[in-house]
Amino acid sequence: MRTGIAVALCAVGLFFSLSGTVGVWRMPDLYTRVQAATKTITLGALPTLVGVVVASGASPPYLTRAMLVGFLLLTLNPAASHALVRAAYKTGTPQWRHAVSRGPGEVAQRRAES
Amino acid sequence: MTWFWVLDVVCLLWVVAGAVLVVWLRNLSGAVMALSLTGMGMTMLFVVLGAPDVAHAEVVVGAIALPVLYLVAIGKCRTVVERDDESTGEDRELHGGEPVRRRWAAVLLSAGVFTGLVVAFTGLPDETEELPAVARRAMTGALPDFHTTEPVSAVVYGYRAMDTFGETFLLLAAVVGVMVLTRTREARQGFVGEERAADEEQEDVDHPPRGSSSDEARRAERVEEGRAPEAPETPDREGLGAPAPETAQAMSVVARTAVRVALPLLLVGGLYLVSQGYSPGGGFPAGAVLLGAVLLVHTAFGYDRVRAVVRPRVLEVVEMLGAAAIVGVLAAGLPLEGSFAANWIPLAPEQTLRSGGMLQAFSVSELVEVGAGLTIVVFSLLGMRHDWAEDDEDGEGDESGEGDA
Amino acid sequence: MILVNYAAAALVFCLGVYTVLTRRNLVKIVMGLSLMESAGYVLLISMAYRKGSTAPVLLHPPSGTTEQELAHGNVADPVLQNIALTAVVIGVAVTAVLLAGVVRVAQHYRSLDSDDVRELRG
Repeated sequence: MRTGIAVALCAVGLFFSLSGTVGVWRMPDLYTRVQAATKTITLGALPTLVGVVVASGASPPYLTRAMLVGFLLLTLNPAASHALVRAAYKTGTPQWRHAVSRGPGEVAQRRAES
Repeated sequence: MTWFWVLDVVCLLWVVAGAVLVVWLRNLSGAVMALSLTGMGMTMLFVVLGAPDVAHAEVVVGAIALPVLYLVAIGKCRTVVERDDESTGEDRELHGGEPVRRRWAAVLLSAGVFTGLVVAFTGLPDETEELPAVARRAMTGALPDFHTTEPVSAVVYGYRAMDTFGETFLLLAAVVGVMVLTRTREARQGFVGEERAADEEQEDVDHPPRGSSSDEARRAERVEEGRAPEAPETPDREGLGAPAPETAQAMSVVARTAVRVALPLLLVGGLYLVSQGYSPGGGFPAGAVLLGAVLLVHTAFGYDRVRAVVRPRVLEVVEMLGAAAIVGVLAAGLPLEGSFAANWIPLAPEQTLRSGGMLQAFSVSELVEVGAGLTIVVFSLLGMRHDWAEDDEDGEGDESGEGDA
Repeated sequence: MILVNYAAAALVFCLGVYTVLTRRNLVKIVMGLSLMESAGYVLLISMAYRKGSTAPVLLHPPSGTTEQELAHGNVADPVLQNIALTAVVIGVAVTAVLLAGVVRVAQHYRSLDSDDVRELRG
């Protein structure tokens, strides 16, 4: 029973990892790729960690370390992606040509003209 | 094939793929990421092969120390290397070097080396060999001799303490070497320090820090000709490669909050690695984790917040104290127990914080020395100025702030 | 079967040799050296492995064995792992010094191309 839940959680993590990989490959633009990659790490690793805890029991060597790693991933990974994309935006990395929102170069131009 | 070999082959493929990417990628930053990828693959391989201590060391080296060193060095080179193609901004010089020289000779030589190595490796012991007597002695002696449940630590800090002593002092020598290579040119006259301080204050008043003059001229030209002043090259007002520590800006509130939340955990994690001497870890990975925490604060908050901790003179003293503590711990074995690096600290019960005796003392001293040393190396590289070369026409001496000598 | 590991270590070493030989960019050459060192780590840890062994850690022995039995049982070689640990630290130290040197050369010659660094040629 326990093993079944752990396997199911690992399968969920694996699915998100794979979908994120496909996303990084197929997305047309840096911004969409970074979004796919962030989801890969956060949603792929967290269910696997929970699965490890479920399978091995809630004893200190597994529970505390899994919680620590999971918490750090949840906190730092989105912040790192945010920093990456913000730097790309401010330096004018071009968006996909069919994007519907304002591009990075335009914002800088508008700010410079005002 | 059992699952072990499947995992093993997968990790090997990961390592080899990363290595191929390092050779192949032309963009230098991409090659650094490929090197980090190789390091992660090796970490997984070491875990699969049953080497948790080495996996700890490899993950901190591959994820923190090496990428930071390479990226800082590449960043320092960016503004001094002449750009080949102004209109597209392509840095031909910074790419991996095309066209390739001596390609066929190199392929033949590499293939020859590969063949020779593989032929030689067939003579190496297989995995079915018995454990050598030295290894068995280390395994069976760790508990009685040191009351520690971590034989690798017993070997690293106890039985082979001389090797670790040599390695730590080699790192110290490398830190000193980097400090010498990255120091600023010293003033030829005046009191040591006093005149420098006055000059730096005067520079602050005369030339407040800004981007290099050639970049500003280019930007002014563009505005004059009616073209849009394009998006700035970097988010900071300083170009990459300018002495960064004094002027590095803080990041957005998202990054700062995340670092504020995660920083205590990271610091405690690093100290955990060194304090539990009876489980895999040790002084070196913990020192590198502390370096990672300091760099995280520097990246997210800018240099001003880190300045209180990362003063070069304080760090140098701390590092020397760590090295002196190592020498002290090892040399105290001579009068007290009769041989260098013998265990002279009374042993505590197993699986407690003090259980290793001299192992723990050595490990903590190594943490102090490695952490301070690696921080000195990274911040020395960051603060390198362009004042050794004779041609200083670019106005690189515009920056303010303390030197790193 | 561990020969596969040895062969992979030899392959990574040769990739490093190829990088040092053919690339002109100085930073790439230092990366090739890093690759050669990495091959050494893989080789050492593969040599430390024994068939069916566990890590040489006596903490939390699996249920059914004591620490003594584990110490006399089938474990990997801790001495070679110690040597690999030393090698990792040395790799970092060497890379740091080389990179400081590379940055100074780039500042002086205004180029990272090793073909432009000609003053010591015979």
